[in-house]
Amino acid sequence: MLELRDLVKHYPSVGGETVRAVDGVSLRVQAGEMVALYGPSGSGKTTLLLMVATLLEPTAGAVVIGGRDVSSLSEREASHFRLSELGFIRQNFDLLPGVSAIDNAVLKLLKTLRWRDAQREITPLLERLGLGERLRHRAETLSMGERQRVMIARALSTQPRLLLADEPTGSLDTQRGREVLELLRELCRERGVAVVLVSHDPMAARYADRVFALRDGRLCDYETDHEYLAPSGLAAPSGLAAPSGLAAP
Amino acid sequence: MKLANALRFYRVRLRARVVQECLAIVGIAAGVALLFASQVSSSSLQSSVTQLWRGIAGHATLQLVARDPQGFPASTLTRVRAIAGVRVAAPLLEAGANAIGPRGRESVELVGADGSLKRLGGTLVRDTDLAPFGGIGAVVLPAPLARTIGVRKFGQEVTFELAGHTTPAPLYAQLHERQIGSLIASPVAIAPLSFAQEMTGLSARVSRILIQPAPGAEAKVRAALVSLAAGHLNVESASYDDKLFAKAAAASSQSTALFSVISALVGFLFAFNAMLLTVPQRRRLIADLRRDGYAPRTVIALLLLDALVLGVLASVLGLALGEELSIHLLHSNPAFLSLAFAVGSQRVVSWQSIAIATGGGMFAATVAVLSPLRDILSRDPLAATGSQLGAGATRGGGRRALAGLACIAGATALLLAAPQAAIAGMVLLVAALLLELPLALGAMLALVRRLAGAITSPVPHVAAMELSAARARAVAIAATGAIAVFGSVAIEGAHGDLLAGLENAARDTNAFTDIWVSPAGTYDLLDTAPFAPVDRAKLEHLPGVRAVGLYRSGLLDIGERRALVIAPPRAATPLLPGDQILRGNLRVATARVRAGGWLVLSQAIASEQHLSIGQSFTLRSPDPMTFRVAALSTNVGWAPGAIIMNAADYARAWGSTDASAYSILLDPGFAPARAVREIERALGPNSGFAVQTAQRHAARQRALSREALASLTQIATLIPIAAVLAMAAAMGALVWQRRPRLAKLKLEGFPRAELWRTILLESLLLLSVGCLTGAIFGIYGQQLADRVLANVVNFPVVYSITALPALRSLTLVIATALAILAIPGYLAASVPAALALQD
Repeated sequence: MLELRDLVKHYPSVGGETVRAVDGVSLRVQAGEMVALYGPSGSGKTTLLLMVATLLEPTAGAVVIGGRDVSSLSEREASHFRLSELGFIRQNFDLLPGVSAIDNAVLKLLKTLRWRDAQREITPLLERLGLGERLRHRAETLSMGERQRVMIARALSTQPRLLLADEPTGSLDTQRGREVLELLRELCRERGVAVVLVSHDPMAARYADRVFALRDGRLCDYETDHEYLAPSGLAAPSGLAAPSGLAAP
Repeated sequence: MKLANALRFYRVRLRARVVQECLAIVGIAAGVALLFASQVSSSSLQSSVTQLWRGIAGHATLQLVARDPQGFPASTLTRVRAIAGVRVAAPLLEAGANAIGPRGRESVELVGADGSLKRLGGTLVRDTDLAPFGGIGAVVLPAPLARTIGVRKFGQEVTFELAGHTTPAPLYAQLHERQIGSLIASPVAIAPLSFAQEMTGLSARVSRILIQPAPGAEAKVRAALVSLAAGHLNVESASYDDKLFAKAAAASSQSTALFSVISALVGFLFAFNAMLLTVPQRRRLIADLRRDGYAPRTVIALLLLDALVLGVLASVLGLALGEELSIHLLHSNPAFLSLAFAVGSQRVVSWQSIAIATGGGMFAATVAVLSPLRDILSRDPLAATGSQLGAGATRGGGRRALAGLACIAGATALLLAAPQAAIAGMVLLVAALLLELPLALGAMLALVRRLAGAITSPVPHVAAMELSAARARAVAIAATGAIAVFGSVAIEGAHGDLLAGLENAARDTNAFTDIWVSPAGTYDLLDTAPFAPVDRAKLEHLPGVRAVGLYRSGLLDIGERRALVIAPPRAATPLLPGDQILRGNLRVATARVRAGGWLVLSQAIASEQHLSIGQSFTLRSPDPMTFRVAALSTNVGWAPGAIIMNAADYARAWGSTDASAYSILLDPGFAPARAVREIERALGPNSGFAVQTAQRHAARQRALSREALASLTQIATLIPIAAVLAMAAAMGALVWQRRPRLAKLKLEGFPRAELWRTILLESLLLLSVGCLTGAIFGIYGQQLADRVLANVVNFPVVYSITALPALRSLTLVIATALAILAIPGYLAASVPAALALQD
């Protein structure tokens, strides 16, 4: 489903040295598979996500999604790709303040559906996410967990093939975080969506099928880099059964 | 917090929001500028008259005034000086004239005075010694006037056109600003009394005597003067001319006052919109300070410091801008009024104008800075960060709508019952507009959502969502447009209706003659300068002339009104201007006025004097005479009011056979242009008379009407310009502030073109709601203004509903604001989606 081919992003720095934000990352993610990426600040996680989301053009390499290289799309094509094929969930919940939960959730559907049809389409998903009673509430009146679920509904509303989740549990307590991760895994498996999850949260690894670490822009085996990551503040995900393989929750 | 710390803290915060603060300063400054310019414009005319009269009258508190330009015998002066308690009595002879020099001509008030005037201490002659040229036939002119007509040197000749003849007079001296201060801009020519009498042909006569009684003797002196006047002269206070002018300029003052109110509102909304830009930062500041334990009092003090800095800077900038506006755009034009009053062209900046404008600026800054007051006083320190701009705007909608309806009802009641309270009516209407606007916006958004339900495009949904999300700001921006279009439509509409009415009046008052022959000069556009009709027989025998009538006209002070008396020849047809008659039967009134002893009064004068049709009263003319009221009319285009009688009655009431113009009827088919040439030839080249066809005469009157109403045109133009700038700035800044939100949408896959269309649609919706509501209320405002002009000032008004100009106004405002907004909108829509990923 998603294939990163020797992906590189270098930035020139003021001193003349090159900053290797992403330095030759290759990765395959299958439909319905959930991959977690760990890494400290500055390890290149966000740069990698931006390139996958077509928001940043790689210096070299390719991002192939469904057999198509999306790394050098025009702005219009990139917009269309993000709208129809990609779901993006962020830690700081990109909901529009002052706008109701359902209106926030249907945003991406409005491109192809009439408003009423879009609302009809999204309502079952929102209900399933436990927001049935909160559809008409404004974004700022929702709890953090509710906002994250609205974001998930919006991200999945267009039946994307790929879902990117950047610190999806960063602002949630343990219980809410677990619920969100469970929900993500469940929905992705059910809908066959490939998920790339970037997180600091050790708990996220329990729900991922495979776990990787990013170090200085390079993708490493999580198991072997465990000790490197730990001193930077990342605790090893407890109960991780299979290194760099399928992890049981 | 100590003041020094507060100032340091302000400076630190300013660095982080310097652009927003600058925009806020510009916004408030624009409001202050509009308010200041309108204040200066409205006060300049009145102040000019007041200054001139204070400059002449000095310490005089009483005056004995003639009722006609012929004045009264100068020997009266001896009798006045003989009254016990009179400290100083100074005679004056005044006459309207045209001063002509090698470079041009100017309308002036010729003032003849003697050395006693200086004893009154008025600015005009306080530092100018009239004695040295007392025995010389010469004139003194203010330096700018002398420069304009090109007479600069001692002894250089100035020609004066006076009541149908021309008189040369050498220049004795120029008056400079160091001598007469702001009177430098007054249109006066000063001559020794004896020379002025010689120039005007009014030998041994004076127009008024200014009197300074001894302390405590004023009442006694006044009683003695009344006895001396014997009902043929007026005894008035020295400030009487001020009052007369104030009454005459009431319509103009009211329209400028209305403009001030509208300017203040547009300016305030401009400022409020600008201040909304800094509200998010201030909310965060409040939350931080409250969280850190500062008491609400400290937070308010800090915000007031913000308001003080903002208000002071904005007011200074606004006063400077307003000064430029008042110099280059909002000229105060006396037009018609200069024919009856000596009005200068000086721009008078009073401390009141500065105080009102600065106060407005400080108020706007304070209200806008303290807008999150509820959050400050909240027990929850974080209340400020959680508040949304739109939250409050949606509550209390029903109550607001009801209050708006009540305001409309109030305005309607005033319109019907007390049209003189026009300003209050307009304020109520503006209040109604502001109260109903959120309702209109809500209805528009509901409509858009409904229509958008059938469209497969995110553009209308996102636009509606965004507008709903920041409702308070949307209402503020729409209100700016609404008030501007309201003001523009109301003023422009009333202006058009008034102009149409004045054109009708000009047509009516020229209907009974083919040719006018009257004293030449712009000072006599009202045909009120009397002359001896010695050329009548000569004119009667010219080819093509069927009849020569003597038209008489003059200005007569009745109460606080300087009324225009119109007296066509008894045989004139039509004798009365039909369209100007408001009450009474035209045919009967015509027959009665023709028969004599009857007159037609302006409704405003009749109502002030408690007169009705058929009632008799004594007209305080030079030779008081009893008349009966035949009908009530409009003011025939002369703001203080008019009186129409036949020329023979006028001669009796004025005790003079002088005429003001020859009205000449031609043989049927005889070309008026040829008749004009024949008459000019017969009168000779230096006759001092102007010969013109009735059509040309009416056209000149119409031109003067337009000139008089030019300030309204400027006002009607300036308000939408200010509004367009205000809305474009506010919406541009709003769009720019929304870039992170736009980036979020872009992150979700919305392309730039779609975001741009969304921004444009949002702007279009806001502008349309605001301007359309403003236009509808503006048409109502026009009706209110029309009724005031017709019923209070008594102007001839042609009622109309100016749908087309309203449509033009609102289309222009919408299109211009939208065109300006398209650029920041496009730039904002080009925001990189990655911006959404930055916290």
